[in-house]
Amino acid sequence: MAGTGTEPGGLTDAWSLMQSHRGLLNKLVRLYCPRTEDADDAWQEIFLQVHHALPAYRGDAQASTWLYRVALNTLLTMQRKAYRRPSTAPQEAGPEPGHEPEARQDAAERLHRAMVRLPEADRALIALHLEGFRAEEISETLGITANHVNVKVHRIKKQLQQWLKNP
Amino acid sequence: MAQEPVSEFDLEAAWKSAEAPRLTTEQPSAAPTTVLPTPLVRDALRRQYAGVIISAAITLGYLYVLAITPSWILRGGIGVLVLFNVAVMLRMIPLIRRMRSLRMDQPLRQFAEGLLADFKDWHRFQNYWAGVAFPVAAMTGFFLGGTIGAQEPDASLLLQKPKLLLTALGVTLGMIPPAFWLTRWMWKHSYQKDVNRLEAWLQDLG
Repeated sequence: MAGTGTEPGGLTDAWSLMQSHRGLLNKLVRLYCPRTEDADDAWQEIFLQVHHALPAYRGDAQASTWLYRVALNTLLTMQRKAYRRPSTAPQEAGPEPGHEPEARQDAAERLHRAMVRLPEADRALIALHLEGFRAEEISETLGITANHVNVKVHRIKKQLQQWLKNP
Repeated sequence: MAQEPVSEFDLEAAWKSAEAPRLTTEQPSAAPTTVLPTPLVRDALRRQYAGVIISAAITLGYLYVLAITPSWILRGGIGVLVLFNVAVMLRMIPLIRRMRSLRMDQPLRQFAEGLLADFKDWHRFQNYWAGVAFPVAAMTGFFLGGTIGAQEPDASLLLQKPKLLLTALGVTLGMIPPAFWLTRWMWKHSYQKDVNRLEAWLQDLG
């Protein structure tokens, strides 16, 4: 049942859950939707899906793992453009106009630009890793083994370092 | 494990220092009463609903012809088509149900695999449709046209003419390639890009 207020699984619960993980959720959304209006749509779509799925949450996974599953599955099925393999050329994913990045933000921006060159699934994996998730937690979110997560993290980091050195 | 050189870019620090974009989001005051799965699935569902409606309309058309035709051969052919269309609609129901109840909180890999399996299931079904429905429709259309053209009350007369039968067979066989081409075209402009995307994600996940 669609809640409208404070009952379990209602709007407030879904909103609070998303707000408590807002930082990473927003970064994930930006990785897949560089344009602000698309990102806003994605955020709303994730909210709807979280709200819809929350009553079925039984606590068999951590709330954050559960939330990122819903968010990633939503992002996966949001973009309708024909899938293109990431090119080796930098993509348009620069900062918002009028916001001159400082040195710290410059590094973050360079990393962001490198990350959007990765294949889409790899972006999610490395984002979770950089956020501090353990391999087991990433494994639960993505549905691949923890060993495979470690192997992929190593490869992706190597690739990112290479791109950051030679953009 | 070998220590990383000092000149390496500090990925973790750069990631943590990134400011999350400020999205203009506010908590909605009310949620929609029905929340369907995400856009990709919604589009797939719309196509399937359209398929059910078209199948139902075609079935009604067949039933009308069935009611007015005096020919037992036509009745048989149309009966097959009606059965086939009913089967189409019945076959769509579990697909639609599965998509409507798609769990968004599955691990990414299982989610993508499940969705991909549903889409491929649908593709197989479309191919059966092209391989069976079109030939049967062509044969029925031939007998219907033949009966009306010959102003005969019964199409059994046509069965006694080998040339006509050979023509019917030729027309039927000739219909199969365009039917498959049409199916491929429909697939390409509906599910193909979603399937490519899901397959790419699965391939990337390894």
